[in-house]
Amino acid sequence: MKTYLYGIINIGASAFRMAVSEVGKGYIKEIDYLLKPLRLGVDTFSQGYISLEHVKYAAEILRGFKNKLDEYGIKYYKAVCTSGVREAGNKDFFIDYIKIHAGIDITILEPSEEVYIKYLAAKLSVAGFDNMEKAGVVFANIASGNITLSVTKGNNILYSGALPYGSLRLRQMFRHISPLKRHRAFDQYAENMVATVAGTINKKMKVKNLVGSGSSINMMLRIFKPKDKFILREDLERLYNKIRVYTKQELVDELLLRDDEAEVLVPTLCTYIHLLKYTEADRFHFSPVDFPTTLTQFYTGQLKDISYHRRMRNTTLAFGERFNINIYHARHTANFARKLFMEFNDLHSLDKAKYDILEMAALLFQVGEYIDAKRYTYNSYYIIKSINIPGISSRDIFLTACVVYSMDSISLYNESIEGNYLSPEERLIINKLSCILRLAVALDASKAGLIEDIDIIQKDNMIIINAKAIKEPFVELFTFDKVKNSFEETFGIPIDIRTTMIYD
Amino acid sequence: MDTNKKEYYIGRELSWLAFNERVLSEALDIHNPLMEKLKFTAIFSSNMDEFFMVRVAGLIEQISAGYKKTDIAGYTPEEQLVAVSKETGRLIEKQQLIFRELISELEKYNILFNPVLNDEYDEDTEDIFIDAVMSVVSPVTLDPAHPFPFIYNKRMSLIAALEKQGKEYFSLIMLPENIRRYFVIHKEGKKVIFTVEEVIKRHIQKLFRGYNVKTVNVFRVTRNTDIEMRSEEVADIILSMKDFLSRRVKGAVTRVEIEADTPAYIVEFLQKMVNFKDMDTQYIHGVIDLTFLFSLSSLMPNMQFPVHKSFSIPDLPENSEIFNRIKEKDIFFFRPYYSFSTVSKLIAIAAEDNDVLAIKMTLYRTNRDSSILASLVKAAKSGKQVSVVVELKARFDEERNIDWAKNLEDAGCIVTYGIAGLKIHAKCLLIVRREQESIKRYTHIATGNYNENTASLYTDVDLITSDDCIGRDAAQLFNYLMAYTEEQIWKALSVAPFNLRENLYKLFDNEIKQAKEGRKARIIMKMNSLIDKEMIDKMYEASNAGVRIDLIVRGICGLKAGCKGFSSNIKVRSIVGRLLEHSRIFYFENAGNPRYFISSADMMPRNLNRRVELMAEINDEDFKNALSKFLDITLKDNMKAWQLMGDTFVKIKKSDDEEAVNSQEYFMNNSLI
Repeated sequence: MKTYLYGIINIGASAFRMAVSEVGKGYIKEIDYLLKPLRLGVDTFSQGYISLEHVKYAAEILRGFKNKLDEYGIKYYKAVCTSGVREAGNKDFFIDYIKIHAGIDITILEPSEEVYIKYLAAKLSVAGFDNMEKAGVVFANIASGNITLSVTKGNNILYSGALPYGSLRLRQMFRHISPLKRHRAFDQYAENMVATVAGTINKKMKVKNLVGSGSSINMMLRIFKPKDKFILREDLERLYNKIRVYTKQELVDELLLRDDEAEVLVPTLCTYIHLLKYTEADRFHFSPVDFPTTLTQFYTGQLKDISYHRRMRNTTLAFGERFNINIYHARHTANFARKLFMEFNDLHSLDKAKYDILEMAALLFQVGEYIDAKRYTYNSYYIIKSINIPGISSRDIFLTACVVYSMDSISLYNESIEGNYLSPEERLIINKLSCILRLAVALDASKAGLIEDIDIIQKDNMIIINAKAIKEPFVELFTFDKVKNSFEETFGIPIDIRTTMIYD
Repeated sequence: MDTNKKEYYIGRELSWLAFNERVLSEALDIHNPLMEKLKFTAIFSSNMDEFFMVRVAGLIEQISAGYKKTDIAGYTPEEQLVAVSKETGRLIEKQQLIFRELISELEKYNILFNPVLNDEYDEDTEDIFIDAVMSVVSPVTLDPAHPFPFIYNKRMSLIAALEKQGKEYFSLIMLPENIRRYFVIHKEGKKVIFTVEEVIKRHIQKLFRGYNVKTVNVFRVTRNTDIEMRSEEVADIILSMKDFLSRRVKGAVTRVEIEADTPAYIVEFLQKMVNFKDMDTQYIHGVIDLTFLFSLSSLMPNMQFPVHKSFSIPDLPENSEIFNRIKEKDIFFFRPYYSFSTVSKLIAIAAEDNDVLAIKMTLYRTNRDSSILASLVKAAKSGKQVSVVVELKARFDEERNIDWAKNLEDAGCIVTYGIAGLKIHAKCLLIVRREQESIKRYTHIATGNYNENTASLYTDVDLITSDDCIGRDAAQLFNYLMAYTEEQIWKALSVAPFNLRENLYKLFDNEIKQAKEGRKARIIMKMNSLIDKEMIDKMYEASNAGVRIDLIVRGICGLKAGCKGFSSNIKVRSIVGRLLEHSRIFYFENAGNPRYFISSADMMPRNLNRRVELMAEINDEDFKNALSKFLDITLKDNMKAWQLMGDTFVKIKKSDDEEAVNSQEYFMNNSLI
């Protein structure tokens, strides 16, 4: 079997990890694993930036990791950082310093990507996850900086987000409180987190399972030594009640933990217990796969998400529903958009990922009407921009918002939208997609589904859309007429529409 | 069992002195050739020097720091020092007595040692004095302009009392480090040996013309060389080590050997000037510092042990095919019965092999012209990643290791100096190779150092394996030592100070359980030293549970053997022969499925708590059989074995109807693999 070596470096809020793996088709074998504790999160979560001392130490650690990459002659690697760097005010300096002094290129992993990758790994590694999903499952990744939560039921993501409730962050926030009372602060904070999440989910939607992952799992496994792939709530509560007032050193001595682990044990237990209370489950299942391994699987294409598209579509629509969008119109528009995108492939030469942006824009462009129908594209832009959907990068979400924003006019000459800079390539993408979206929206402008289907014909240096309608689509034709010029300006070819009545 | 009873234990220092006495006893063994007897006398002296430089120095430091904590046997540092002083005095007298007997034996072969100087040798010794001595010595006659000079560690010195015009002077001659210690005059079929101090004494008047030399006496100062490094977390460990080495030269005095006939007023003068006490003074009735006897053996090559020819591992390829051979079957051998060159060759092959990506090794002690390090340099220069974890604090090898570290760095190797607070004693080599699109690791684990010289004198065990789990653990060990990771999940190896002790206890507990359930339970452990109280208590616990324990302990042993109530099932043997026993091998009966381990660790607190050590299980049945045979023969040794009776080692005497078994000779002549 043809294999290659792949390296993953994960710069977390409390430790740096590196995995070197042999990767082949359907095969990953970890051959080396490094772990160096460095609590960047202590800096980031308490003072907002990473101290110079820690930046330098991080470079020293990563020089060692680079030596490892060189040792194996690794050509392909990915170094990602999460909240410890992501939320630091001097993250750009940190990334640049590491590149110069350790020769490592770091990518910031966005919260939505992070939760998606972890969710996917749990889905593939936790036995019975699909069944749990049918009954509703809270997937919680308790990391040092953030807790990423994903609440799914069936094929819908009911909630997803990275919440600033990570164990080290909590520890830092309440560091000035006496150890005797600190657990009460953790309790209050975790309760608030659960209430925040629960508030966004329909109360009738019961979720009955909890799946946990994250670097804390290894520590929990060493403490509880579970025989199966779950830990019971009563065991968690028993331990929590016993050790919640312990000092760090007492935890190190009694439970044989590393210093960095002892710091986060109490907030971690507290968080799990509150999540279990929310789900009313008596246990939480855990994903045995650690993050570097998951990242290796993800970036080497071994984490296959076969229901990705369906889940994204459902989740997007579920989001739209919150804003009372016309679901039928949204679906109809998305179908036209898909057809136009496919047929105009030679004209726009955009890849499949851009289609995902177009589809999301088609499904969500109406959300702004919830606030004000007149300036709906403007409102939609701000609403879409705030969405967090696992598996979709925040830039793609932003581009989706820009596509909707640009439906009103061509923004090819604007270097920014609402103060957000766009690269020339992004401007082109937005223009092409918004142009297609305008046509798609026009084809169902009456929101009555009068045009059932379209054919696209290209002849005499012109594109003709043959719309198959069940009734005369006056509004659609009027709207199409208003937007067709922008198509010619964007793609360099005129477009027009003809109607064929289906009853003919 | 009350483990607080001091009667259950033997103190470390006296136990070590007993070991050195066993070494000295080899100088009396009629089975040893004469020149080898002289070597054992020299080894005794060299060991004693180190004892005073390190152990006695430590006791003195503890006393001056007001440290009152008792040792394993319940003695305070003061009590230990008194006992040590008395015992070393006895042993030195015994050594001089033996040496005089050996001189008599030498005479039978026409070798004369420091004969009374008469006219017969006057001209010869005068030539030596003028040609080889006078020009290199610089007497310092003390006066206000010439204060008492600093006397360096282990430097042979003479003090002369001079008289001129009714006034007395002292003059000091500190012999240079590189001066020859003895001279051999070939005369009338005889070989006449004169020590340099005898030559000087005979002709000293030539150094002090105008003075009357009243007396001249030899003395030698031993100093504390166990000085702590100031900080282990300094920015530049090399600079720190150099500072440490320069301070070590000037450590406090721990012993002064002085000729017994030195006038009392001169001794008092020296005590005042050099700063030592009566307790630190050893009066020698004979020759001070017999370490030079090492080199006398060349005088009579036929009176030495016959040259030992090592076995070789059969059919071992001398090219990259060696890796396939290792994949087929691990390589396992006993040093020096098998040649250590197998390891040197493996590294040389790896250095030239195109598929080798990386070579990593620990370096504790190595030889000056190490072919292994030359191979590493070659590998680094050819673009392989070579990582060497150097233990700079390998006692008395520090300077050599600094030199090597610099050489390796210059060649492009990644050189690191381990972990602050932990000495790296594990012997491990890792070769990372890319084979058919996958990574393969080859690991060498040994009980002895990567030192091609001592490899022919020390008994050790070596394992070369392609086992994935061992390779993974070895990779993690290097990752840890090079500060790349703090991950501590060991799958195949036991590593001190993390899980080695714990894993040994588990093995002990299993034997205790077997014994309590009425099954056969047995432990055999071969090591250099046993002084860890917790480990000894575990052994007592096992003994009381009915586990039969055989210990083969070369040196320090803090355990009392065969004592009713706590160690009635424990036997302790010590093998002292021509080779230095150095291997650590552990056997556990395990209810009829014996488990064998090799390790770099002795059972001492420092090894188990403050050093990085390795223990590896041997799983190959052939190798287990070899280890079984090895331990069996070792336990049958009745020529070079001593048995601990309570707290005293007694030489085992072969009965007339018994077959003589000298285990070291047996292994030299019989292949075990």
